[in-house]
Amino acid sequence: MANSTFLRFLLLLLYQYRSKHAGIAVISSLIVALLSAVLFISQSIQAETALQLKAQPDFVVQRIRAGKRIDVPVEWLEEIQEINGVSSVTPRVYGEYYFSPREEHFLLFGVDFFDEQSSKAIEKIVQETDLRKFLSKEQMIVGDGVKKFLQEHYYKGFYNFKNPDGEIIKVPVYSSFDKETNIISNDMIIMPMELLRSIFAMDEETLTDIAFNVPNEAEWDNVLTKLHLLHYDIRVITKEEITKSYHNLFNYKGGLFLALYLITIMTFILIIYQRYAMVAVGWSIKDVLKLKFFETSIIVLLSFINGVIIAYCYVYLFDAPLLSNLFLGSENLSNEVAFMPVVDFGLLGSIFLFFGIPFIAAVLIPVWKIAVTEPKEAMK
Amino acid sequence: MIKGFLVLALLYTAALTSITAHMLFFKRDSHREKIMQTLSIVNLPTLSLSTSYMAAGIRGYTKPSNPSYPDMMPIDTMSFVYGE
Repeated sequence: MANSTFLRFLLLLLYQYRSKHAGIAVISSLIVALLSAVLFISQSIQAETALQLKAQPDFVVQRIRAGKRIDVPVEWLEEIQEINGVSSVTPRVYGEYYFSPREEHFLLFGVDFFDEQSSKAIEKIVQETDLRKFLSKEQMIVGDGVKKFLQEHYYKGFYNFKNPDGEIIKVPVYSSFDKETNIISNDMIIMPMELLRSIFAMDEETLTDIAFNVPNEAEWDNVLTKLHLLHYDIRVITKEEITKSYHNLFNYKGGLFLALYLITIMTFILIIYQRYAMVAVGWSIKDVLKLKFFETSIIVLLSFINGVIIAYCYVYLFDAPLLSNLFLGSENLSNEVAFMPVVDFGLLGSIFLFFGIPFIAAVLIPVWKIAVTEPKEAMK
Repeated sequence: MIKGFLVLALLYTAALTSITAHMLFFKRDSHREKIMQTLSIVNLPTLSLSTSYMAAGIRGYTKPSNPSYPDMMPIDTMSFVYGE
């Protein structure tokens, strides 16, 4: 009965000051939503990159001259294959094609469509792809961002590439990648390797770089030494370097976000700092603190749930417009990524603690201070 | 008054249930499979970052450079997000 009276009084109090509580709840919800949205996006990207890193080759060999990457001769493929312990040696031909009128660029990949693995993957990934029809002439498959770009610039089903010699090479668009793969394929164009070489005016006997695996990790150092003994103008990129690059999402600048969040929450807490004098009307200190604790806890909990719901819908249902640009950039083709839902409950718990405890403390400390003062003084 | 709070509680329950259902029934396997298949075609795992032409488009493989001023390091905005 006592609890029921307490609950009724608590609800009455919340109802009585609903406009004040609503104001606080709206601001709190927005703070939690912003923080949760940033963390949801970063977790989703981290999950996607972890997936991509599984497909990452152990080593990539590039050729360097005067500090710049230059093309690798095809003969290097055989030389690398002959090193003991090396497997899956893959030639790669790719590069960025610059569209000067709009200062935008596409990432062009040359694919050996006669390679069994590539052709099977293409048949699966691009719906209704008839590989025979696709290979009957020189065509390309484009990412969703490229497709939109071409439509906006009145290229209906084709694009005129200009090679360094000034020749125009008209390439029809055969199909496009699924929007679900936008996180890796948005600015991507794949086409036959020979066609790509003619667009970049590359020598037929050259490659952009060579990727390979060394299944036995104990052999890695040995293979690296052998490679450096073979050629002196090489740069070897290891899987670890790439992993570090993508895993360090907000690694050293994460502190900046945390600092901004703390400044925001502290400012807000100062605003909600308030005084009560219920002890003057006959309440015990315990009752006053209990009532304020539950009142504040309800507001904190509702604001937290609101914030998380808003962030979830914003990131995973509406694909985080604007905020996703922070992670994916906005200087080239616009990228509408469908984020894969990843929710780390441990992290949500931490956000709740970072948000809830200072909030409750900001209300309870002044209330306690007032509650322990003499009623006469409190009423002055 | 109590009725109003009960309606609010029901709304929150419904919203949280919908989110949980969305999270549980999201087709993760199909999403992952499509990404892995795309990767198996190009053999180059990279995020499709919308960076300027002079910034490092493929992180780890290319270095930012300015063709007009090769000695001047251009600002790579993505380095504020991804570590090196």
